[in-house]
Amino acid sequence: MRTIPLLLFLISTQLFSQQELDITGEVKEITGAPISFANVVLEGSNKYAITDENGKFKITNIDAGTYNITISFIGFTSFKKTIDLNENVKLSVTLREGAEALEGVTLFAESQEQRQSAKALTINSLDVKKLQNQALGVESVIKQSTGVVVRQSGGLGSQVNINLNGLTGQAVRTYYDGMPLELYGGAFQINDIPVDILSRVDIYKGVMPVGIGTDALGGGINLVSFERSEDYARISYSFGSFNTHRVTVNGNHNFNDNIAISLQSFVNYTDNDYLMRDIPNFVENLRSDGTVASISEERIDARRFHDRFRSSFVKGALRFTDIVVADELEASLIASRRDNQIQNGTFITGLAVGEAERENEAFIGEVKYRKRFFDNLLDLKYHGLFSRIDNKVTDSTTALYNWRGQQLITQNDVGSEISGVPTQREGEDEGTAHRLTLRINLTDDININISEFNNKYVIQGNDPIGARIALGDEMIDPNTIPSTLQSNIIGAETTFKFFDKRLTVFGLFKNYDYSAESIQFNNTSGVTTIPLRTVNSNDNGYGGGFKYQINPKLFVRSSYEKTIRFPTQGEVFGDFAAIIPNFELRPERSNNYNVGIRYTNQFNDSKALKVDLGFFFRDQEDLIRTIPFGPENSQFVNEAFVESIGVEVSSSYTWKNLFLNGNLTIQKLEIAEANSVSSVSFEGSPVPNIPTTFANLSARYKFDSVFNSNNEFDIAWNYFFVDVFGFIPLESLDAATSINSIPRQHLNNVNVTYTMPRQKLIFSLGVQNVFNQEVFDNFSVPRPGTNYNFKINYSF
Amino acid sequence: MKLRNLSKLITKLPVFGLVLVIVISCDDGFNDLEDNNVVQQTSGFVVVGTTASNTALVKYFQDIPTGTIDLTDGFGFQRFVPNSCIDHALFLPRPDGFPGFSKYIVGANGGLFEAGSIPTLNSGSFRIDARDSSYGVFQDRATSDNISIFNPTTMEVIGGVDMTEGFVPDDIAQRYQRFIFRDDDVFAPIRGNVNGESFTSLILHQANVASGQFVGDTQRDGNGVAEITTLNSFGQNLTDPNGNLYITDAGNFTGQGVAAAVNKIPAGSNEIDPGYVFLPAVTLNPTNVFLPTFGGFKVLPNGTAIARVNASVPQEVVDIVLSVGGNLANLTSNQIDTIFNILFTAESASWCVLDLVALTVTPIPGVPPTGVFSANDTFFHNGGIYLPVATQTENSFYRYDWTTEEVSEAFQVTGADISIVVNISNDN
Repeated sequence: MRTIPLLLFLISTQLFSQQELDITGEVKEITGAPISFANVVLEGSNKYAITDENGKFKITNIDAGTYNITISFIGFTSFKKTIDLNENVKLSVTLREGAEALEGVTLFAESQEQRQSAKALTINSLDVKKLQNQALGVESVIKQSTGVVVRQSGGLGSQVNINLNGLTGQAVRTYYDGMPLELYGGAFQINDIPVDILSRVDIYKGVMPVGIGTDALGGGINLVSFERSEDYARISYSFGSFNTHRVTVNGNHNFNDNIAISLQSFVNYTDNDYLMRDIPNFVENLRSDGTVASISEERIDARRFHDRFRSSFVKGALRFTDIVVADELEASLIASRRDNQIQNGTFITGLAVGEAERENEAFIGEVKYRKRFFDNLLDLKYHGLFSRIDNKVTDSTTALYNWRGQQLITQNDVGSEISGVPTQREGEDEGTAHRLTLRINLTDDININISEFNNKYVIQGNDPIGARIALGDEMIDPNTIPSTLQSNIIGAETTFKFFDKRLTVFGLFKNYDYSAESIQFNNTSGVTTIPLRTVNSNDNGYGGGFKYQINPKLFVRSSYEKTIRFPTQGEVFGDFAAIIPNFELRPERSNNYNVGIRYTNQFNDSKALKVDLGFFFRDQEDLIRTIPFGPENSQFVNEAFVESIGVEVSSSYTWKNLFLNGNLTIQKLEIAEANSVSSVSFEGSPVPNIPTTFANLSARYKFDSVFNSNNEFDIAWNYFFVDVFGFIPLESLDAATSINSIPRQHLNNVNVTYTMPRQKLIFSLGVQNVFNQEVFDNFSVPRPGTNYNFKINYSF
Repeated sequence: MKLRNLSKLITKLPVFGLVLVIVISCDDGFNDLEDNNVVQQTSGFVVVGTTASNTALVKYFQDIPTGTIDLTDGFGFQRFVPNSCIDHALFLPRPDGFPGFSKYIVGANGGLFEAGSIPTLNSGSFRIDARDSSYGVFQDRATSDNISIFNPTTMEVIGGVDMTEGFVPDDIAQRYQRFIFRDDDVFAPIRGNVNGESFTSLILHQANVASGQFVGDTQRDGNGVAEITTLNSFGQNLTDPNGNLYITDAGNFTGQGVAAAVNKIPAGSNEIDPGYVFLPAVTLNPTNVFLPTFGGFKVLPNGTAIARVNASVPQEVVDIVLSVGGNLANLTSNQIDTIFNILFTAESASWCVLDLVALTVTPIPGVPPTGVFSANDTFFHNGGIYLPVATQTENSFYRYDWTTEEVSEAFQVTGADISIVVNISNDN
C-alpha cells in the first residue's frame, strides 16, 4: 500500500518531431544495489515508469524532443537531467542516499523491504543492501529485528541458535531464496554468510506464506539473494582482529539482452583466537617422580587456540531472460567448503578441546524458472536443486588439553573430547528440493497462490570407531545403512482486497506429508536382517489474516496459522547410542497469533517517523523434548504444552541525515499443560534458556560532501541489550546467579564508512564491543571483547 | 576539502558518546550473595525436585515436611544429585554441570553453599562416596583404572588406588557405578567406561582405602547379562547387623529373562556367596518375565530390607504376548518396542519388605504402586523410612515404620517432580 499520496508535477516540453523513441535504464545505489520502485518521470510527456525489482525501467513510444527526466526514491537525492531525445536512450543512474526531496513533491515510493513489512502477515524485512559496505555477517543483521535473538557459541563460524518469538531450535527454519539453508552445505550458514551476497532478510513471524517455508513451527528467516541485472563487478576485502579475513567477489555480465552470467563468491578465514577472561583452567599437580598426584583448578585469562574457521562459497549462474520458453531461466552450480576446529563444548570448563574438528563440502546444482502467461494472469515459478554434502567429524583423541594450550600428562580413557563417545564419522548426504509455485492474478484485487514443495534427504556414512549392531554373526555399522527423509508440502493461499484496497484479507491451507526410514538400533537382539523402520505422518495446517488501512498513516493487522513441525531423524530414530528411538513421535503443532498496528508519518521532506507495535501468542502442542527412558537412556517424547506471549515495539525516525532505529521485545514462556500426568507439577513453570527481554538501538548520521563534493562519510552506532535470563527454570530473576543464568548483556558496535563514488571505492572501519564488555551469548562461553575490522569495497 | 562538513562531524561525536555512556552504565543483573561466612546447619532436610527441563530445584526444610511443600522458589541448579552425606554435608557431582565434584552445606538461612570441590578431567565423572570425615572415594573417568581417595573434610585428594588388576571382560576400560564401604574396604560394581557395556555377570572390584591397595574382585555366579545401572542410589545402608553386605543388580530388563538379584557377601568374606539366590521380582510374581527387576534397596536396622519390586505385568503386555500365541520368540520388533514403552512407564512396582533370611517379599500395604524406574531414593528419620511415590496422581513421600509396620502419607511436593530428600542429620 502506498502510504504517501502521489502528486505528479508536469512541466511543459517542446515537441520536435513525431519519431517514437524509447528510454531504458537502470537505477542503483552507490553500492551498486538496484533500487526497485523508484519513480521515473519524463516531464512534459505524461509518461512515467517505476523501476522493477532489478532497478530497471523502460518508457516507450516517446516523441523525439528535449525532456527533463527526474528519477526519485524516498530516502535518496533525486536525479534530474535534460535529454535531447533523437534516438533511443539508455541511462544508468546512481542515486545517493539522503532525505533531500524534490521541491513541492511528496514522494510515495516504497522499497521492497517496506512493502514486505507492510503485508497482512507479520514480516520484518531488513534491507541488507545498505549494510553491504560493512564487514558484517548475516547474524549481525538478523539480531537487529524485533523478536529475534541470535546466540552464538563462539566467534565467526561458530554454531548459531535463533530464537524467534520465543520458539527456538528446530522450530525456526532458515531459507535461502525459499529453499532450506541446510541444503547448501556447512559453508553457507547464518554465521558465515557475508552481507555482500544478500539484498534483504525477511523474517516471518509465526505465519509463513505458502510460497516460502516448509514445516516451520514458529516462523522462518528467508535470506534473499542479491541479484543485479546490469554489468558489474564488486570486490570487497576485509581484515580484522583475530587474523580474520573475508573476501567477496560478485559480478554479472550480459552477453546481450537475453543471456547473462553471474558470479557470487566469498572466502572466510579466522583464527578466532580471542581472549576469554576469568575462565577455569585445570592444572596437573605432579609428584616428585613426575606422575600426577591430583588436579586443581585455577582462574585465568586465556586466548582461544583451536578455533580456526575457514569457509568458501562460489556460485556461478547462466541466466536467460525473455526467451521463448521462459521469462527467466537460470541454471547455477554451487560449490562450498568449510572446515573448523572445535575449541569447546557447551560450557567452558577447565579443559579445552584441542584436536576435534569438522569438515563439510557441498556441490549443488540449482535451476530457477519463471514464465508469465496471459498478460500476467498466470505466473509460474519453479525452483529446484540437488545437493551432495560430504561431512566429517573427528573427535577421537585420548589427549587432554588445558586452556594454556598444554597437553596434559593424563590420557583420557574415554577417547573423545566433546562427543561422549569417540567418533570419526564421515557422512555422504544427498538432498533434492523442488518448489513449484503458480500465482493466479484473477483481478488487481484477487490472487491465488498454489505451491508445492518436495524435499528428500538420503543420509548415510560410516564411522570406523562407532557403535555396531549385531546382525547374525556380523557386526554392522548403522551409519552405513541409508536413512531417508521425505516431505511434501502443498498449499494454497488467496488474497482479496476490498474498499479501494484498504482492507486486505488472506487465507491459506497447507497439507504436510512426511515419511522417514532408518535403521532401528535398539531391541535388535537376534535379528538376522537389517531392521529398518518407517514412520509416516500427514497433517493439515491452515491460517488467515487481514490488514486494514485506517488512514494513510495507520494500519492494523492480524494473522493466525496452525503450523506443523516434523520430528527430525534423530528425534525419531535416536542417535545409535543413548537416545532411544520413538517411532510413535508426533509432529509438534503450534497455533500462532499475531496482532499489530503501525503508524507512519512523513512530517515533511526531511522528517519521518514509523512506529510498530505488535503482540504475539504461541500455543504450542506436543512439544518434543527428551525424558529419561529406563534407568539411564533418554527418549524424545511429545510432552508438554507451551504458551508464549510477547509484545514487540519498533520505531524508526529520520531527520535530514540522521537515522534512528530502536526496538524492544518482552516475552514470557511457560508450560501451560503437561500431557504426562506425572509432570503436572511442571504446569506454570517458565521455559528456561530463552531471553525474555531484549532490545537494540541504532543511530546513523551521514555527512555529505566530506573532503570532496561527492564523497560521503557515515557513522553508525548499534547497541544490543539482552536482560539476564536463566538457563534453568527460575521463578524470578531474583534467583539469578552465575551458575544458573546468563548475565545482562550490553554490546556496543560502531562503524564509520567513507564513500568515494567517483573512485568507486568505499572504506569502512568497524569496532565491535567498543567498551570491551563481557558478552556471553550461549551459556558461559565468552564472546570476543573489543575487536576491529576494516573493509574495502571496489566496484567496476 | 570542506572543513565545514568536517567540523559538523566533530560536533556530532559528543552526542554519540553521551548516548553510549548512558547505555553501558548497567550491571550484570545478578543479585550478589551477601553471606560469605556460612554457619552450617546440622539438621534438617534437603529436598530435590526435577523440573520439566530436567534441571533441579533444591530447597531446605528445618523440620520434616508435612502437608504440601512447594519447590518453585527453591534454588535452581543444572543438576543436583547427592551421592552421600557426611558431617551434614552433601557430596555430589558439581551442580553447575562442570566436571568434578562438590561438597555442599546448608547455611543458617537455609541457603546452599559450596564448601569445596574436586575437579575431574572427564566431565562424565559421576560418582563420589564419602565413608566418614576421613575417607571418601571417587573415580575420574579419564583414568578408568584408578580410584581416587579424598578427605571429605578438606576436599583434598590424598591418594589413589591402581585398579589395573581387577578383572574386566575383554579387558576394556571400566567405570565404577558406585562405591560400597565395609570398614576400610570399598566394593565397586563395574561397567564399560566408554559405551556403558554391561557384562554377563555383576562384577565387583575391591580396594582398601587405608592402604591404597587393590584387594581383589568377585562376581555373581554367571547366569546371563546383569544390567547394573540401577545401582546408582544414594548412600550406603547395605550391611545387616551381622556384618553381611548385600549388593543388588537390576537383572536384565531387555526381555532375556535374567532376574535381578540380591547378592550377598557374607561377613568376613570378600566373595559373593554363590549359594545365596534371592530374586525378589520372581519371588513376588513368577510370571514377571519381561521386567523382573527392583530398585531402591536398603537394609533396615532390624535386618530386613526394603525395595521397590516390579510386581505385575500390565494387561496390555499380556494381550500382546497372547496375540502371538504366548511365544515370545514370535514378537515383532514393533511389538517389543510397544511392550517396553508400556513396561517402562507402567505403575507396576510396589514397595516391599524383603526378608533377607527367609527370602520372602511382602508388599507394604497402603503405599501406592509406582513405575519401577521412577524416583527411588529413600531417607530415614525418627524410626521410619520415607518412600518416594511418583505416580500419575501423586508426587509424595510415604512414611513406613518397620517396627510397627504403620504406613502414612508424610508430605506432598509441588513445583517439581520429586527426586531425592536427604536428611542431613544422618551420615550415609
